[in-house]
Amino acid sequence: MKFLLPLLFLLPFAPATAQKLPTDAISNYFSEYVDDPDFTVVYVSGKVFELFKDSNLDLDELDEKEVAAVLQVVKDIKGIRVLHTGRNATARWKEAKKRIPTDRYELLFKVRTADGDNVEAFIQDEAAVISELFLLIGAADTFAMLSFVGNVDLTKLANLQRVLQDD
Amino acid sequence: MRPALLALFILLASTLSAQHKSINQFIRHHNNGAENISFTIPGFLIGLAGEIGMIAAGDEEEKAAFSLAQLLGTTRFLIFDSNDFDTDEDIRRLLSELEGEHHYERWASIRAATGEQIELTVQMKGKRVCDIVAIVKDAEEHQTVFLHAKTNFTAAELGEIMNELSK
Repeated sequence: MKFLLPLLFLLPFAPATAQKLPTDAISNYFSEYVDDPDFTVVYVSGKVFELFKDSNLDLDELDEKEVAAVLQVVKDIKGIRVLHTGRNATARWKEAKKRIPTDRYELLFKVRTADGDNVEAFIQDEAAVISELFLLIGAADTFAMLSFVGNVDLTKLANLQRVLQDD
Repeated sequence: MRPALLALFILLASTLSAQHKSINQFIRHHNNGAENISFTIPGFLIGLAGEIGMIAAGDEEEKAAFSLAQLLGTTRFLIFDSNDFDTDEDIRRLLSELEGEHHYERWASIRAATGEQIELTVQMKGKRVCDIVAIVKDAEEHQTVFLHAKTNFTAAELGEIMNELSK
């Protein structure tokens, strides 16, 4: 009984805490490097994209079809996170590579140039819907991690590509 | 029934004042020092200035900027020397209080390796944005600008103005 009461008290807080636990790869890195002065850190919430979703955007460069296709892709994005540094880039790249949980992330593509620049894209997916698109960029003088979290539907991406190609 | 209504009113008032207490404390604490200033612009004055600006504005871009300003209610500004305080820790604590206890949501967070920092957190009621807190820290000038504005707009209203700005 002595232990039961504190447990009962803590119970209502448990689901809220669980929801806040980072589930995406970059969240782990992000929390580590968010205060590191060597890094440039960017976070944009999905709420900002929701604003665009509800808004009747009228962009000069894009026609109605293109705007609709772009909004279809971004409307389900829950957030974008970016980490970038120009210091110890090669060491950071190697460290990040080691820590990617390959059991949860599938390599989408990998590019390595003759100059030694590397770009690797990973995804976490269920059916045709990507829950996270994760880019790792490494070069001699730059290291960056980009994470797009949310439901990125491959069919919507394909539709956007088609619409842009048509014009 | 009357005690219940009174209790509800007191609860509501205490929640609102608690939220503003964090902001008030932040402003009061950083307002100390020869170069540190804070001022409040009442909402009606911003509205009035916005209306006058709309009439006087020459081009559509200026009109859109003034109509964007009209979305702001009572706005409080604070400008202080970052070196006078433990600014990073103070910002972190304020954002943690607002987001942890008063349901603010971080919309954007940018911290450059050069030291510049931008934080945007908002409080929403349903689909309406009702409070905005923005913090901009300039590392080169070692100056921090804090803004708290009461607002009452939806994504659609903001989208209309953004349409005008993008034309």
